[in-house]
Amino acid sequence: MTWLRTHVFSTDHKVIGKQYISLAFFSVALGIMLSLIMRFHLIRPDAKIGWFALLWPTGATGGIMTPELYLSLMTIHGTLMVFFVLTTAPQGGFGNYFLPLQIGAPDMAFPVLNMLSFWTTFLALLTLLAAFFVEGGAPLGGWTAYPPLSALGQIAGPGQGLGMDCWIVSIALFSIASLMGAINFITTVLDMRTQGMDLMRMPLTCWGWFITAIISLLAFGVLLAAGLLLLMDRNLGTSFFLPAGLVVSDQLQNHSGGSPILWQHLFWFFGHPEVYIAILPGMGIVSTVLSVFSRKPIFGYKAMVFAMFAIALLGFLVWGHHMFISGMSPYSAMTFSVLTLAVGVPSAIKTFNWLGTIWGGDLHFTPAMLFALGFVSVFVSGGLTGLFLGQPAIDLYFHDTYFVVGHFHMIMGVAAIFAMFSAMYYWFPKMHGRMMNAPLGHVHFYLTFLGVYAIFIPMHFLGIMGAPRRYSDFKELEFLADAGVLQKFTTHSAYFTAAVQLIFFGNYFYAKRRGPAAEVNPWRATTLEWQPSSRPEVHRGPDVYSLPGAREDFVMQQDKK
Amino acid sequence: MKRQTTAVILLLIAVGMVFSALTSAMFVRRGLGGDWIALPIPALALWNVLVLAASSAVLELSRRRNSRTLWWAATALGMLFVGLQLQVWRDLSQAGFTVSTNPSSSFFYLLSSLHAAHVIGGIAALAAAASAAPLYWHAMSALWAYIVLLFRCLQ
Amino acid sequence: MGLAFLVWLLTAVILYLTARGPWWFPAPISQHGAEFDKHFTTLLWITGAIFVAAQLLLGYAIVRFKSRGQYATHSEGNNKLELLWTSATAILFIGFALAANGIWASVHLDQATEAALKIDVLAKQFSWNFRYPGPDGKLGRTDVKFINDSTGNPFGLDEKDPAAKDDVISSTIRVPVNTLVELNLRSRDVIHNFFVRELRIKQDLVPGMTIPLRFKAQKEGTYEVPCSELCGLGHHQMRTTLIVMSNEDFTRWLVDEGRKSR
Repeated sequence: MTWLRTHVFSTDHKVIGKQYISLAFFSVALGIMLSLIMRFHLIRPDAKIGWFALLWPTGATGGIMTPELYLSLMTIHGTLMVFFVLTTAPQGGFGNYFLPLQIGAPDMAFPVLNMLSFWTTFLALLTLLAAFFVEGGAPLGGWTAYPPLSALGQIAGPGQGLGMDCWIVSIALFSIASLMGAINFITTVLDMRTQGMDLMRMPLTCWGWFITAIISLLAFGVLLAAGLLLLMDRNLGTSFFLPAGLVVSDQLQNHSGGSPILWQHLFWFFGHPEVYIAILPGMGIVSTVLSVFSRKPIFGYKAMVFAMFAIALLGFLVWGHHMFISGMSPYSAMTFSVLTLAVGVPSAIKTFNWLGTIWGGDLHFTPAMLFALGFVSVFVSGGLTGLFLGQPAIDLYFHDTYFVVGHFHMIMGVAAIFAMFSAMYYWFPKMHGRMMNAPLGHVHFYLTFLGVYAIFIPMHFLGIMGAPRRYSDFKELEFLADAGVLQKFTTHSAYFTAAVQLIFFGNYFYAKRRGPAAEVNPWRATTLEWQPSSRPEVHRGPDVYSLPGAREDFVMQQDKK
Repeated sequence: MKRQTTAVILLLIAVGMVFSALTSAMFVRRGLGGDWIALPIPALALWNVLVLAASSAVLELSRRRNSRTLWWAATALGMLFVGLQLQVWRDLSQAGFTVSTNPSSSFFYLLSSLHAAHVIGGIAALAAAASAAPLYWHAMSALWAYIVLLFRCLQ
Repeated sequence: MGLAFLVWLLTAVILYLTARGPWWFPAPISQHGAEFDKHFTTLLWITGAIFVAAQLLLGYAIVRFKSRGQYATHSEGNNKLELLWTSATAILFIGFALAANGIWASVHLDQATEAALKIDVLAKQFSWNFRYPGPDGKLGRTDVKFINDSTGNPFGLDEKDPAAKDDVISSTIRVPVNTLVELNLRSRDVIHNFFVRELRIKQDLVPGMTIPLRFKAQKEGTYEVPCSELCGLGHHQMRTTLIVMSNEDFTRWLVDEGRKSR
């Protein structure tokens, strides 16, 4: 009973944070495996693999993968990565663990609610995975679930029956869990800070979590609403997203007057801010890590906070850039385009300030620092391609090509994951009281950094050639006959990069048990999680490094003048 | 406690986003084509605005006078509201409007049942005597008035 | 240190592949395509310059400020710099958006100044159907209730309408060269997408909507049309071809087909 209370149904924010991280570990491992199977299929679509048949008796009869199986792996890969990895690990994981510690709170504002959010998320994950085991298998409509494909049921394709319902229920549960989490985070920041911890003295990590929680609070309700409408169209015979006169497999459907575009508006009103939900905590972590290992204050702390707010605000005004070629008004496309490129401005401000932070510093290349620097490189590479996609005239060609796939994997996937790696190497001593092996961390970083560029840069070239995404094979397209080498290179890079992650997992699990004991403040950092007392009074900002005349090159937040 | 009030305000913002999303979806859907039929809202739905408003008023009185009896009276009025809502749905389906009859009825059933679910949550909070429950409860009264007004305006 | 060289190496490789690699756009076959390429190239130069500058700076900072026991300069920021780079990027980025609007408008907003050849397009899982008015110049009446693929009536042509008798239906799209074409894009089940790389245009076909799309192809040839919006398990097989023909060939084809369908 006590064991259950302390380890399973715990209300301690540290335990819940670790539970979220474990859930994200599981999801990311599964998500990567699905992507490897997909990459394999893309270069050898006719291969017979015995264990495919074992895993998916109907989707891969005789071991040859069907297109619908490929598409369902893709749907679950996207859903796992976007929701159960990029939304849980940065916020539910590291945020839960470190927000209370960094602002000097005894716990989150509502510990029981916190536990409930985790278990609801867990239930959402189970519901999603259940889709693989129901009749028809997992849905094949991608993580964006555009109707009518997602609204018509089994008749539109295998997996669009019960599997699709599982997906919607999972996403609805996830939304509810995220809303509970958001309420908890915002209340904690507003009402639980220790004495002297003014808002403008909070570490940028806390700003990242705080603003992410605000975005979640405003965005997930809209996704929930859209999910309810879709469920009703599927199961109650309503016509929100389904127009009249649909003929599917020669059968006239009994719907009238709805609009598939309506779903896209609702979905992307959530979907675009979701990108920032994934990346803002990472931006906070990178800012902190760069500052600690440059032994310098954050360059332009206020500008950083301002830029995060600007990103959050503009993030709610740009959803239409996912819909330039959807048939919406060409005039609104122009407006969305201007606003979209405007989001580039605060992102650029952040990049300049990161460079400003390391400029003139005393740089220590720990694994955490390497991943933070890698983040900056990847963020620039992935961000600049967004300038192309944000213009409807250019999107006329690039929409739904591999260029888009390369772009969002760089900026949303890789950048956010680099920030998570940075966070893990940085906070491991605090979380587990031991040190991870640094040389292995270096190897892990260099190979991963090389690997992600090798995976995603070729995708941009495929996109320039016009290769559409979400194709289970490209045999039919003559214009891609010469692109086989790009596909092969990408697939092998993916194998390589995935294998490299074993170094990380090995290092992580070994260090957790056997790593050398960590000092209280191994990185000589200034924020509250690195000091021993429980709720100290705070006297200064979070990043006082290399202060002229100070005894050491850092002054902790609780130190008196 | 201060943080409970903060949390309820945040919760109301989240609930507000769900209902705003549905409202805007409803306006878009209505503007799409000629298939929208004005919904004959049962009179009982209008009376129910008064029932919830009365419940809110009694709750406010209870808070000012610090009276447990009035608090329970407000809770009972909330339960009455849910009971009457069941009758509203019965009236509507007897008038030939089920959930899939027309987008107007689809939206009405969705909005009213989502609201009812929130009211039931509110009843639980009142029963638990949560300190921030009145704030939430008043918002639910206002929300029902808003929904009824919305459908009246769309006639 | 190693990171700096790795960053520079990757930058150099990306630059080389972009400048010299074999993987690029096909040649454009329309004026719009040429304008698209011009704008894309300008954009590529500017963003490329930013990309190189940022990665070079990052690498430089890594080499220059590597810890050698020095004491870091204590700087909390510089408001003038913040103002400078904020306004510079704002002007540059928003300038991009405004500059590209002309090309966008030419596809979707400009009024046609000449008569266009109208083609009715109806997509379904997982094939394309194109319909041309026959010799009478009129498209026949259709109704979804007549749709039947097995009897060869994918559009649901109403047999009672005399104008429907000579409609030409084709699973590939043929157009005359140097002629303005207007497609009326419709879908009868899920969302599909009409994409011709050489024309640099792409448009969703959304059930319940009729979306016009105009283009003028200026080079004869055969071009692939891959469906570019996920439409189900056969998405990857949903492909057709655009055949741009001389005016005489096109007219002959249309007459021949019209005769066959009657």
